[in-house]
Amino acid sequence: MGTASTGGGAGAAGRGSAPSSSAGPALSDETRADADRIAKPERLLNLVAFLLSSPGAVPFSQIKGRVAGYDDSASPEALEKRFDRDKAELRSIGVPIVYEPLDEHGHEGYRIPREQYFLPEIKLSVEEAAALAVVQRYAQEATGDPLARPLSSAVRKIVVDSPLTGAAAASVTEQHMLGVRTDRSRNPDLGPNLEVLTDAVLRRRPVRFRYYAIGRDEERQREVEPYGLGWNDGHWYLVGRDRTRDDIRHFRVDRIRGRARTASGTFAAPADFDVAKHVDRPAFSLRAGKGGERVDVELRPEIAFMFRDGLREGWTFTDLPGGGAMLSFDANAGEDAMAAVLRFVARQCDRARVVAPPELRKRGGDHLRAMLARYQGPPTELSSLRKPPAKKGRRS
Amino acid sequence: MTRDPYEGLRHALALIPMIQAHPGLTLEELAARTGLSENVITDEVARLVLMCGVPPYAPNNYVSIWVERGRVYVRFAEQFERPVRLVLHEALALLLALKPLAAGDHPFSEAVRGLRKKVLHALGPEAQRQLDRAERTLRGPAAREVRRTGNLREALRRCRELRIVYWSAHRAALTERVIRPYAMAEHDGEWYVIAWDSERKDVVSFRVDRIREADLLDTEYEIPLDFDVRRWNRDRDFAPAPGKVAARIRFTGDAVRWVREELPGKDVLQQGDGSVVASVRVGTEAWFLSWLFQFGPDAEVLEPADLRERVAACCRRMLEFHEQPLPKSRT
Repeated sequence: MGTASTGGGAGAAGRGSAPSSSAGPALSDETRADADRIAKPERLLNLVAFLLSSPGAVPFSQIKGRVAGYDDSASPEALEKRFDRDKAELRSIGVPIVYEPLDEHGHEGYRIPREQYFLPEIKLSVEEAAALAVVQRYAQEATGDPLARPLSSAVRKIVVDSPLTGAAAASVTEQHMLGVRTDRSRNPDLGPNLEVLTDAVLRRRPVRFRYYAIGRDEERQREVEPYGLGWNDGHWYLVGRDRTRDDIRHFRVDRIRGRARTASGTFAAPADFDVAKHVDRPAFSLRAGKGGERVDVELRPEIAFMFRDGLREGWTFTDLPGGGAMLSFDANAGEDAMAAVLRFVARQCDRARVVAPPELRKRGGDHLRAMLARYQGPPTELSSLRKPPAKKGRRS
Repeated sequence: MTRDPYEGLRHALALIPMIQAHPGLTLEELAARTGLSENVITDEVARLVLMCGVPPYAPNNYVSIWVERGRVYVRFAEQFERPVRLVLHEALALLLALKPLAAGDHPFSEAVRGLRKKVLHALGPEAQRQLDRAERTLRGPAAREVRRTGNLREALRRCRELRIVYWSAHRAALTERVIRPYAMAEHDGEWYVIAWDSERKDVVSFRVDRIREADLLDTEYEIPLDFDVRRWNRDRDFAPAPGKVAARIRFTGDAVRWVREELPGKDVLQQGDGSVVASVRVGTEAWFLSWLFQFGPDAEVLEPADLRERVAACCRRMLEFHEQPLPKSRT
């Protein structure tokens, strides 16, 4: 097969025959020699089109020199390498190319098994199609979610069987009055790190990054086996085994400094790991497998119901006479967790108090007295404070 | 987001079967259906497939997508019968997005459960095993479930008024009012009901978890034709607007680091003794107090004086409650 009949020249003919608006630049035979390689997306699409339209397996000898993108002057070895790369890349987007060894009819070569390529028909009811439209809208808006792009791509495939047109789907969604929204403005710079981490979680690859621990006010290199990635209360968290500390830790993704990178090797995560159990709870709440302390917090009647309805795993809620309630949970041992419990109670203003354990209750009282002490007498005089010293060292 | 090198190819492989299955869809509908912009369809995708064909690359061997009088057609692409199966990332993203909708209690739950089942069925057993694990390792912002909506769901379905007892964060009090629910929306991980509020005479959002009681009334209502839930998509529709009053607050100790992380740098002034003084706009005072008190004694409101006095008064009430006798029954 001569290269003159492939690619640009005939492409221009194909273009001309379609009542399309743009004619596009037709490539002459001379420019073809310069641009003798067509761009990769076109080459991959040509390869898929060719294999899908072939009735049986096709030997590489029939691809080489024939299929657009495999018909340039590259050496046979280079073409074969190109084919191997293309096969791998196509597989990553879900297009399987398999090799079939010589059969009794004398055929051998490559083919795309249709049953592995084609999405099976997913018959959707009108309501299901409407639900899909809701999800699609979420995907378009949640640009900060690392799964938004694969979500869009998935919906795009499945809607082929939707009984609704786009307009009808939108109107059904409105009739059912359900919107899915997420904050788009928050953390716009996390994208690349979230993608690296998502991929590492799914492929069980360890990751390395510099992390700022705000509690200790220090920045350090970490190597982590990422067990899971979860979102809670406006932040993304990575949960995994910190290899240096040999312990399961949580990392807020926006406190990763610079780019996270996958490291070599792989790891085994605990079989029963569930990221929801880690991220969907306040920082002080007990992590699996740790000794903790039982804390009782009394809630005033007006806010108690909100905790009853949103009770976390392992928490108990007991009604008290008068409409209030006692909220009990196991807190992590240690200073950080106790401070976090006090923060949690203080956030409820005058509608919650620590009841037990006694040491924490005493601390809660001291905490409140120290807060009140700030307001006895006039405000702290700022003019009496020294001016800030010039920053030492690292001035940019 | 980093650029996906296969984006155009993915789009083409999804779009061609779609046009084949629904020839003559308007460009607008095709865009709505696929979630791709009209430009992406006519420029990027149509241009990519122009170069795609099969040997011997005669004119009728080339795939061609074209728009005629606003409608989209494709030809010479019979081999692209169906879209590509879902890859793991796609299936996972879809199932995760459907999960909270399936678990919740709202008008779509049943349909979503059906949809999830069909998607899982289409994936085959090996993918299902992988997904089972992956579902437990990733959890995005859309994962919050709608809890206990009870009568809210009935009200939405039958357009019946509700009398609710609602915790108003603005007033820091329980309030009673009659609402006409128009829609439910998720924002930033929380579920809201968007409803006409008879008290404020306006359409406003209520956080579902702050509704203590909801009684279904007999009165029916109609949702105005011009109501569009899609307009409820900005932060300010859900969160209180920043107020006019600027509080000056002095932060000490660990709070300095938290404040530096949370507030814009220009609003935080370093002091010689290691403390910082920050300027914070007070929108809803109840919300402000809750935010302020998490810093405990590490925060002090300097001005304005009346706010300082109210903060002090609230501290006194907190201490008062703290020192009251403990409830007798401890379980």
